[in-house]
Amino acid sequence: MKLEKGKIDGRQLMTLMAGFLFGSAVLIYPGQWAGNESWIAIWGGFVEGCILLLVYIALMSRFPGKNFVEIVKEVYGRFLGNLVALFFLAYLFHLGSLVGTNYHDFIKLTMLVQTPSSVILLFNSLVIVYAVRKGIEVIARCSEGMVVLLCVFYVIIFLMSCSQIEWTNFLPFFSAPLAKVLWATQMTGSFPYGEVVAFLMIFPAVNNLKEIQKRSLKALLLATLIFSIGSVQTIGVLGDTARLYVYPGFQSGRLINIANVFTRLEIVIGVNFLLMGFLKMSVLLYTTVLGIAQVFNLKSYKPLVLPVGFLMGLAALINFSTVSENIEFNNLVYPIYVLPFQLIIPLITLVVALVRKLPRNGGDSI
Amino acid sequence: MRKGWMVLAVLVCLLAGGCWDRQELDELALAFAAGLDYDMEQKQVKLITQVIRPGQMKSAESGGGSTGQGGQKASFILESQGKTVFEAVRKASFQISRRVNWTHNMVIIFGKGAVKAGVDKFLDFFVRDPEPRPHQHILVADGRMEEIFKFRPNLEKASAQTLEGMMKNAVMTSEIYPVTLQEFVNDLMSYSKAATAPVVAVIGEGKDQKLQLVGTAVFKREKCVGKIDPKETRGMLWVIGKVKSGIFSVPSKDYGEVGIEIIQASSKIQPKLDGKELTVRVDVKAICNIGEQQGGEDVSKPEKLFRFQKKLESEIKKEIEKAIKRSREMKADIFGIGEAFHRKYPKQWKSLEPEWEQHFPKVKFSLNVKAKLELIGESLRPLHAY
Amino acid sequence: MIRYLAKLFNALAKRQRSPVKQSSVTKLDSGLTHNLKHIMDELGNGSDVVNRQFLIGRSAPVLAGVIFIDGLVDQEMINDNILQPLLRIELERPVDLDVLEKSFLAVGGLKRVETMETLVEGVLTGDTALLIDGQPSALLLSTKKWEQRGISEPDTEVIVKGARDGFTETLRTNTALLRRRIEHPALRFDTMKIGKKTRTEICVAYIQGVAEDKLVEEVKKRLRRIDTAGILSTESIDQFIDDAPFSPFATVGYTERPDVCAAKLMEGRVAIIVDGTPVVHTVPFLFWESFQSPDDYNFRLFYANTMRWIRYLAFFTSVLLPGVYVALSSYHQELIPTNLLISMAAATEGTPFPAVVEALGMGVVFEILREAGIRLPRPVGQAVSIVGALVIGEATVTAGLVGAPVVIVVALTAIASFLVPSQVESAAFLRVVFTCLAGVFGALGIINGLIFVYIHLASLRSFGVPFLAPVAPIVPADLKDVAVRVPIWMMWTRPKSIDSPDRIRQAMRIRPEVPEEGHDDDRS
Repeated sequence: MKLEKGKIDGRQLMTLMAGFLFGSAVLIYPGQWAGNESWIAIWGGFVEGCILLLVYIALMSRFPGKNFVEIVKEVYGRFLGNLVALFFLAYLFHLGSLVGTNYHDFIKLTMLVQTPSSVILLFNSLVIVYAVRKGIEVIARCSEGMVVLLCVFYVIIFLMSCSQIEWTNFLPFFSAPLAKVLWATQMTGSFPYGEVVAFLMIFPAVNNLKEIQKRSLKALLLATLIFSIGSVQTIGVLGDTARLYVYPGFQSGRLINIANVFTRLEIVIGVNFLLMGFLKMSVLLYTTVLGIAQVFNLKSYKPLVLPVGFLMGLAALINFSTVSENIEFNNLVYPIYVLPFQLIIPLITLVVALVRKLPRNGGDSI
Repeated sequence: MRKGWMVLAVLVCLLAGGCWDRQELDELALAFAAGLDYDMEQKQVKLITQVIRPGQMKSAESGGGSTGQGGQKASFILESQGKTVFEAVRKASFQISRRVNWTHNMVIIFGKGAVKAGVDKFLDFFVRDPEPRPHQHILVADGRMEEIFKFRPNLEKASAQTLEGMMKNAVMTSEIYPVTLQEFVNDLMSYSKAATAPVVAVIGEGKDQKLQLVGTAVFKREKCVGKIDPKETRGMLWVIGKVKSGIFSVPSKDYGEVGIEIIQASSKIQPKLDGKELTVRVDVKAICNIGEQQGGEDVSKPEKLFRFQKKLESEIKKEIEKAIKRSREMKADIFGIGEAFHRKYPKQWKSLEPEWEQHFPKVKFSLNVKAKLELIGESLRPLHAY
Repeated sequence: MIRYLAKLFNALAKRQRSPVKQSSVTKLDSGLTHNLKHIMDELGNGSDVVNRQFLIGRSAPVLAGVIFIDGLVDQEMINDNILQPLLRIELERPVDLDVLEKSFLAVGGLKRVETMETLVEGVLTGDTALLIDGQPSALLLSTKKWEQRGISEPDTEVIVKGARDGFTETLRTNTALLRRRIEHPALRFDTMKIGKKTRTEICVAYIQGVAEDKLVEEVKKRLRRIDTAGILSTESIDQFIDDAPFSPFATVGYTERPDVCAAKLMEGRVAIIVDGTPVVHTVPFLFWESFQSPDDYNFRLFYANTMRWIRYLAFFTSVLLPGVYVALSSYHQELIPTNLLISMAAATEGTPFPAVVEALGMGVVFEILREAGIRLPRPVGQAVSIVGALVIGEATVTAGLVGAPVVIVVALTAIASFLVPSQVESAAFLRVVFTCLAGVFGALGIINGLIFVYIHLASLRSFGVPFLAPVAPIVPADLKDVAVRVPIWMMWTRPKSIDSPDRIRQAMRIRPEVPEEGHDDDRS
């Protein structure tokens, strides 16, 4: 029994994954904590992401056509498997709500100061619920255009701010202590690269296994390039003041001024974030409800979408009491907190599957 | 279908719920300039806000500082006080029927009290609040601030617009270095580099009043330590490579002066650390044009041009040296030499940085100025019959 | 999923329809008077039914009768080609239908019928029924001719360069217009009748081998499902076969131009021609087709592309402009250039309503004026537009009821919406939604609204083809006629998203080539 009949092709997987990686990262872009060395952190995170992705794909290729919940059910047996699956799904749900929190914080800080948080999140949840009800095929189809648009926007914004970039801002190289850079690398590795673990639920929608590997790596690379552009722009334009702002990328957009005509372009960066935040939240909501439906052997995940979507919005509302708590959590707790979900569970599952020589009925991988 | 009704119900709720952040245009009082001062004794921030009347801004009659229809001026000022800038801002809104909106504020002017007390505590509001934009210009007032705000310009309707225009025109002479909020904050955040801001004053009385930029205030960290005059400012700009255009007068061989226009200029700062010795090599390159000639020299001859070039180079050098002298007196690193050392010698910088104030006056400058007269305008010869 | 649903509905429909099919069949009697009486009863002795009885043959005359409906037939033809030969028959022995058919009736279309129902049906479509005493069958003679509008240029789709003919209300004329453009035997017209009372003839046109068989089957299946009393216009057909009946976007295309229709057929689409309307429907209909005009292919490349992009811009303007105006003026003043903001603020000074109410109100006023302009007789319509433009526009602003910017915005929106005629309906609806959203959430409302609409569009399908193809999903090969219009000689494949079995439209290397200069000398 398949819950999801929708099929996506390789390119759609790529754009969906890239969009997912952009998610909240286009705004709070990875590695900003490392200051001048953020680009090192970004590429370090990329390497980390690639390694994690290879683990996921190794797991996938042992169980072709099965998503993570089905895999753990087979590997650990019914009871334990469901337990692990629920544990994993809780992470996806929490991650979705964290993106929601970022989304809501951004809107509260920059656009709608007085609008109640609950209304913003309700409005946002409505859109996401609608998308998820339409299924993965539609989300993936939407992602294609959106990601192309984002890349175009990004390159244009970068070109426009080129005149403002002070290249001396990047000097001196390698000035930050190694520990800081390593920590920043783990930060980027966990956010956003490691979060592609959610795609363990989506990979089976792609027909071709080879395609998955190739396209996922391409998605990671695309995201890394865009992040690099973003980080060069932010550090180059803002210099030391990059540390000053909650959203340095947004601020660097504000500084663009070409002949007094192309000004106030921060709105474009804002739009990018809202689009990608939507994609990321839809993917996470989709994977969560799909997983829950599989754990409880439901016939369809559709009835779950609305309640779980609103719960996600609610969780986003109560995640943190203040914005600074959120920032602190992202900087200090998150890189460690995600380890079990992004690394340990998939890795152990893979090892157990190897030891138990699963799947039994001739693992004819494609 | 039930689904559709649910969505509809939620939408209706949202619409009926109201528009929380809505601010209609006719409910706004647009602020164009903010003046900040500090009362040391009462520990109060004094804020002067220049607010415009859009109707009057548009009406043709109210030009030239005269009053428009209904006798209203195109802008007026609000004065308020508070423990913090934010408090003063809110109190300003309290005096009028509308809410003061900062999204189009053009200039922030610091009064005497504010520069003495340290400007960082006043700027945080303008960085933190989502309304003000990072392109606002920072200025320091010389004399009474109210005069600047009440000044009636000839072309524009509000003095803030005039100041904004003057900032744009600064490139014509390069004797003023306009700084935006973003740049100013960037300099403030650097421990070694001294921030600068143009000084504005109202000169003259009554009808003959005019706004003028009289020099550049130098800040060491958050406090103002002195003022440099326009020529010294250009000396500073030569070093940091921000000279865009400008005019030089070089005496001609026979009589009169030759006006030389700077077309393009660039600079390169190369710090060198030799034991305890700090040296900086500054290469300045300038491309110039002859804009005017009073004397009778025939400039169509290359050797004459070379003579001018030599003269020009020594003039530029003199300007730079004056600026270096002033900066040494103030012990303020207006050139960002410290940053250059930081970039080149990140390890040694750690020990230099805390005492940069002591180190800076000892830094040796070696100046290399290369001027090039590329163009001579549209005439070949002087206006002489002989 | 959609296929499954379609199948399900089809099954249901069949069950419902079955009693209709079993309706009693009355065989024709051999007695003429009985037959004639029966037919006249069936037709309700209508005043337009003509029943003429006469004798055939001199020596052993046989009673015969013709029945036709006045106004639907060619009277002259009946007189000259049917009645005259029959009245002059010299044969001695009793005639039978075979002989008549072969030797006397000078009529092109001729059909032998045995049942009363087909006979009545034929008479109702304009045929003439010939019955002869003693014969248990009758002849249906094709004598259709009625007053009809001439072929003229359609008012709704005026173009600058290109053909000037348009479809008419008569099915046959329309099929003929298509046949004249596609003179290939593979062009098929499959007809069926829909509507229990109106018995409207509906023709499914396609090119066999170019249109996918599955698609043709699907269209016919959906048409057969329609079980209604009457079809009076193609629009109602459209609503019966639409993929997404509750969407603001139509998933069935329409045209009044035979050249457009032929082009769509050539791309592997299927056309549905309904008797009685000049509007022909084409499926599958994709979103981007709304922006394609026949002029795009007739004009020079760069101009055509510019116009195509202007149309995209106009569509976005017509949907978003009032919303963006509301969002900017009441939420994001920091995004408006200072001088513009001063002008806007000066213009809205003292107006009583918030921007969102102004925009919605003026939008409604515009719709009222537009509707009045369309419905009223033309001379009055002009008066309405003068009143609308001058009195309402000018007076409301001078009286300070609304700001001048809103009037400009609404006027611009209105004009922009006419650039894309087939999306006028969706744009009018979405405009209101976006204005409301902008009024509550500012830019956030607009962006979330756009995402919502985008998901909706991406989830739509028109007869199995994604509505937003080739943009979502991206089909690079098909962007040649969406992102830009490439030269015609470069469009060597048919649209991939429509999935025609015959992908190749033309030879690959047919780029125009100028002969070498040497040849010029030869010629001279």
